[in-house]
Amino acid sequence: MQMRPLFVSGLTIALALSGCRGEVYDDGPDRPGRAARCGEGDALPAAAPLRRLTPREYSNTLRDLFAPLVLPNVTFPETVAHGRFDTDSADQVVSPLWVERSQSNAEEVAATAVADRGWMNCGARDAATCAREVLPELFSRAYRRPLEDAERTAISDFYNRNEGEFGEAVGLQMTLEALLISPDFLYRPEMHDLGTAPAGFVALDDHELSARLSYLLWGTMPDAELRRAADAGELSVEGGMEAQARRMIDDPRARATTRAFFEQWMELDRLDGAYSDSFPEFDGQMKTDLRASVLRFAEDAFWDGRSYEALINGSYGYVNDRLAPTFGVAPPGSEALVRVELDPSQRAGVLTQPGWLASGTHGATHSPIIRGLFLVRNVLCGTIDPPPADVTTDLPDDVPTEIRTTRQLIELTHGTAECASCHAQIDGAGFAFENYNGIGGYQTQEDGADVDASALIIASGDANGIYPDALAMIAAFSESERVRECMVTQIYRSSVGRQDQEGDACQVRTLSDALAENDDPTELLIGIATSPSFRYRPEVSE
Amino acid sequence: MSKLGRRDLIRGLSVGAAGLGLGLGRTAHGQGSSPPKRVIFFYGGSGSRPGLWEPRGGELDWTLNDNHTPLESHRDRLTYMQNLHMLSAESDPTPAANSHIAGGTHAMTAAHRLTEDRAGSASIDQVIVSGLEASGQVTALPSLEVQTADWPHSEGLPTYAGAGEPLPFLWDPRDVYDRLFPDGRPAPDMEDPRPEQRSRVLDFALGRFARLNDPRLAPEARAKFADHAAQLTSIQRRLALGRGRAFNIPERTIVSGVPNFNWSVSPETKATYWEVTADVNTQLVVAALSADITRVVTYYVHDAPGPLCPYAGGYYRDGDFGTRDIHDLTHFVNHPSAPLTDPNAQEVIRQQHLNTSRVFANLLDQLSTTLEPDGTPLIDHTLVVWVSQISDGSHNLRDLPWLVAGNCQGTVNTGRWLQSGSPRGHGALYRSVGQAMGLDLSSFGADGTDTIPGLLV
Repeated sequence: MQMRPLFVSGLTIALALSGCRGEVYDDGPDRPGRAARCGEGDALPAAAPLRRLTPREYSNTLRDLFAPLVLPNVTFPETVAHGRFDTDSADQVVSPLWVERSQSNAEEVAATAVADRGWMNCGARDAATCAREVLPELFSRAYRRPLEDAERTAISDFYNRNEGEFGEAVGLQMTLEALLISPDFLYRPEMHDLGTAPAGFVALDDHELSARLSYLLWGTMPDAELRRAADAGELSVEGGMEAQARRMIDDPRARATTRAFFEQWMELDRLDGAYSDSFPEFDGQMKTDLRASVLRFAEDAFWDGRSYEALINGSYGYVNDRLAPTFGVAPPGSEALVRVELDPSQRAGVLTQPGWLASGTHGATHSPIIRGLFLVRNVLCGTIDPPPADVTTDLPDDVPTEIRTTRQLIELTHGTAECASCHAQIDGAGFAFENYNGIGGYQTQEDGADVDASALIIASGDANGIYPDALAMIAAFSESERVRECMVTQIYRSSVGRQDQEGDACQVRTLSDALAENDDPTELLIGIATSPSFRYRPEVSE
Repeated sequence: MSKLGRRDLIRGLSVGAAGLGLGLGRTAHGQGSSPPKRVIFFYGGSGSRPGLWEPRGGELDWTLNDNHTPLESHRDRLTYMQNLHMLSAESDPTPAANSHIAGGTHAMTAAHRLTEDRAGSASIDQVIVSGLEASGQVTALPSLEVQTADWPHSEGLPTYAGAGEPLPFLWDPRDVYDRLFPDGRPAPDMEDPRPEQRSRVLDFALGRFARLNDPRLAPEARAKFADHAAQLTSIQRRLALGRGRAFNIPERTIVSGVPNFNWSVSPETKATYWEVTADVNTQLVVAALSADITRVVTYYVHDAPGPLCPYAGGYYRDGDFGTRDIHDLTHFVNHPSAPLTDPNAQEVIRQQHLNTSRVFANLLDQLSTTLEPDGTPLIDHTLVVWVSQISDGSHNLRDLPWLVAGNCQGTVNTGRWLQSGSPRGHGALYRSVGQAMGLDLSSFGADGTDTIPGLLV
């Protein structure tokens, strides 16, 4: 097969001619310019944009506000692109359709809450008296802070007026609708100042801290204990945030939040649109199982094992009878997913889980390009330039007739200098997974030809290297500072609701170093929650 | 966002309402005055193939090319433009995340990007909305964004409320219908018992937004609150507008038969879904304009999935012709120097383009047969602008295969093949479109100080 020399030649050309931006950090563990550990006064937030509740946070908050009432599923239009987190304030566009949905959702939820008032615990009180007593507390919980007197009066006046004109049920419904479209509920405005921050910054008050902590760890509003701690001023004193954070990460709600992170980091929404004529078993049910399986694996590594190493390198999976053939194991005799040990010569960590491997599949077979792009962007935190607008897609004149594998076809089409300038980096990473077919099953041959899973990682610091296959690459990744720092960066971005900026570098470095020492990703959440960047915001300047 | 609200920024784009028979006021709202102007941006994703879309012949004596043969009955309503390019994309200093986004961020904005995957300014549809609403809100929905499928958004959306603010699209016909005609009535409905109650609820929320115009908040946060409050105010004004024209309102049964989409269905079922959705959403777009629920629509028509592209008595299947999928096939077929010359492969892509042309033709058919209250066809008051993310299968952004349809109350020359000798940026087209809609756009986008010669009467 003549393609290998062509491809390697392409890589050489790529390094010489590359217009690609493959580097966001300097190279090497001792690289000059790498941010030092945070010192006194460092690690203050570069920005603190206004956060709006994400659809998940919105639903969770409604669930907790009106518990135990079962509410209708409500939706919002999405504009978030792959590779971004729904917490990113920059993507929280205020569109007419979003605002309309917030109103129609409010009407739907309010109607349900009025029809079934068990959540109000009215007991023997008459309905209007009960509503007058319950509503201020409800608004306070929804606003995630105590109400000002003027606000109590406004709520009371609003209810009383409408209850008087339209009747008790309509009055209650209108007041609930008003709550659910208020900015204090839909957003998390931060405007208070404890006066204890360094110059140029503002210290959040206890209730603002409680909201940040609750949405970081649980994706919902503070519970009664967190509200009590905020009321008592415990969060703004030394050790207060950590005590609450440690309590909260033992709650199942914390698992749900990290599940949402992994879903977005792995871009698992791609599974919805994945398809392949080559694998008729790749149907809706299998996609559901694959998604659940890889998320259960990540949850296990993160929360049960509390091990970053297991996340990157663990040789186990969650399998049911339907997925067993794909994982290459005997059916466990179960429709539910159960943990099984996998062949360590075939599987290592989240990147060899079929749920992720299958997510980019479209067309006849798997997609090394989508896999490679993911690796470069989401695992190595690199950046890829787009192909030039006038790129040609001509095949070389001497097309070999023995093209069999996906890699061969891609090497053939990307072998020109023009394509290789970026695809050397993308394909070089994606080819590591050639041992995994379109649904993530292990393979050594494709269409009767041996597959070649050798990979080249470039422009990625200490992850750079030539690897014989994915397992060798992942083994190196598990020790890589670059990969670990990128994972921390991704969680950090999701947590702070924005892209990381220059001022975040020492904070990310500090968190990454701590992860290297303790291997416990849950401590990463504690680290974020107790960092100076979490309790301060930049001073407002016009 | 800057410290200003979004609408303030759009108004800063040299927009003014020239009042050329726009019917901007309430009097046009079905009360006997002449019908208002409307505009539809028909956004077809992957363009066409050079050599197969350009008319054959001179400026007036031309015939349709292969990819546009379904438009034959509307030939005299069309105007094609030669030498139209996305020049703004060529001068953009911010690299795009990929070459589809390179076009998608410019196609309707003509502005330099804010980030690698976000446009840097409001799109032409929103600029027109801003002009139409210069004297106050005139329709229930300022604009409508509809697409034919729930395709992933990784390649970006074309319409922007402002820099970095893409607008979401509805795609499920049931959602589109329910937004346009809640409870089967044109929105808003004065028979609805709740307008007063809704208005009070909105007043309460607007009071909360007013309290958050607080200097302790960052200017960006206050701007976002201002934008949100403006949207609530818009909803409130809709309540005051009263009932839309109860005119040509389709029964909800037109959406009740649409199958639930699921990516796991067979390719044939996926193709059927695409056809049904494109047909029903086209009807709903026309109904929205006819009932004057909105006057500005962006209709995103995705490429048809593979099985809709028959060749040699069969369907395209992933892997045919040595390509991996329909997208791959497009790259290998759909540009002048494309290497795959197999006529069957070329026919697959031609059929794909014909499918998009059929949707466009269906849209024009319905605009032609739908009558205004004064008995004139809706298309006489509508300008339809066919645009695309890219030009062809090489991601080219030059020689855009775009055209306009409809004379927009006599302001646009039709039946023309405008073969300009000098290249023009697509901002020039949008400046002309704005003028046709009665807006005095002194420029549009990064390259739009020009207009299209011969397009306007």
